[in-house]
Amino acid sequence: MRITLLIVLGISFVVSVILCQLLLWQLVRLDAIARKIARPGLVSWLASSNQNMIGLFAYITLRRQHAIIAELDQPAERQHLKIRLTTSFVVMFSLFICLMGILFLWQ
Amino acid sequence: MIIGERLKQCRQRQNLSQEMVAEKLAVSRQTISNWENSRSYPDIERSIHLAELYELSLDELLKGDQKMVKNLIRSTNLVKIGRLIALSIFLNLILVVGLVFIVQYWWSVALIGLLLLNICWLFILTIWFI
Repeated sequence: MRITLLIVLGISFVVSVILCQLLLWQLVRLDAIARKIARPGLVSWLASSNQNMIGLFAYITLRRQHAIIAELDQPAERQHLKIRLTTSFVVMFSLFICLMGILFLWQ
Repeated sequence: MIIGERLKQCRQRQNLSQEMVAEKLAVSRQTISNWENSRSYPDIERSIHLAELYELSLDELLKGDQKMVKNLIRSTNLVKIGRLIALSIFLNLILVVGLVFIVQYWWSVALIGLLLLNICWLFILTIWFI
C-alpha cells in the first residue's frame, strides 16, 4: 500500500516538475520575444533550466538593456502563464512535502 | 488617441525636433522615435519630464491611453516585487548561515522548513517579476 502510494506520488511529482519547467520556459520565451532578444528559445532554455534559479536571475538582470516592445507583447497570455506556473509550482511543492512525509514516517 | 501620436503632436506643436527632445531627456533619438511610434513606452520619470516639456499635465498626456497607464502601474509594481526578491535572497542567506551554526535538531528542522518556504516564496515572486 505504502509502496503504491510512493510510486503514485513519485510519478505525479516528476510530471509536475516537467510541467513547471515547460511553463517557465514558455513564460521566459514570451518575455524574450516581447523584448526582441535574439534566439528567444535558446535564451529561455538557458534561463529556465537551472535548479538554483541563477539562470533566471541572470536573465532578469541582463534583460534590462532590452525594453518591452508594445506590439510584440502579449500581456494576457503572460498573465495566464504566470497563474498556471504558480499553480503547478504549488502542486509540485505539496507533492514533495507529501513524499518527504511518507519517507520519514516509513522509517 | 494613443500615446505615440499624442507625443508626436505635442512635440510638433512646440516646434521641437526629436534630437532636441532626446537631448533634454538624456535619451537617444531612437528612443523618442520608438515612443512616438508606440514601439515602447516612457517610464514615469520621463513621462513627467515630457509633460513639463510639452506644457501639459500628466493627466492630459496619458488620457485615453489605457495601455500606457497599465504599463506605468506594472512598472511601479515591478519595483516593489524587485525589492521583495532582494529581501528574500537576503533572508535565504541568513537562514543558511544559521543552519551552519545551529546544532540542535528541532531548531535545524525549523530552519530547514523556513528555508524551503522562503525558496518557494522567492520562486513565485520571480515568476511574477518576469
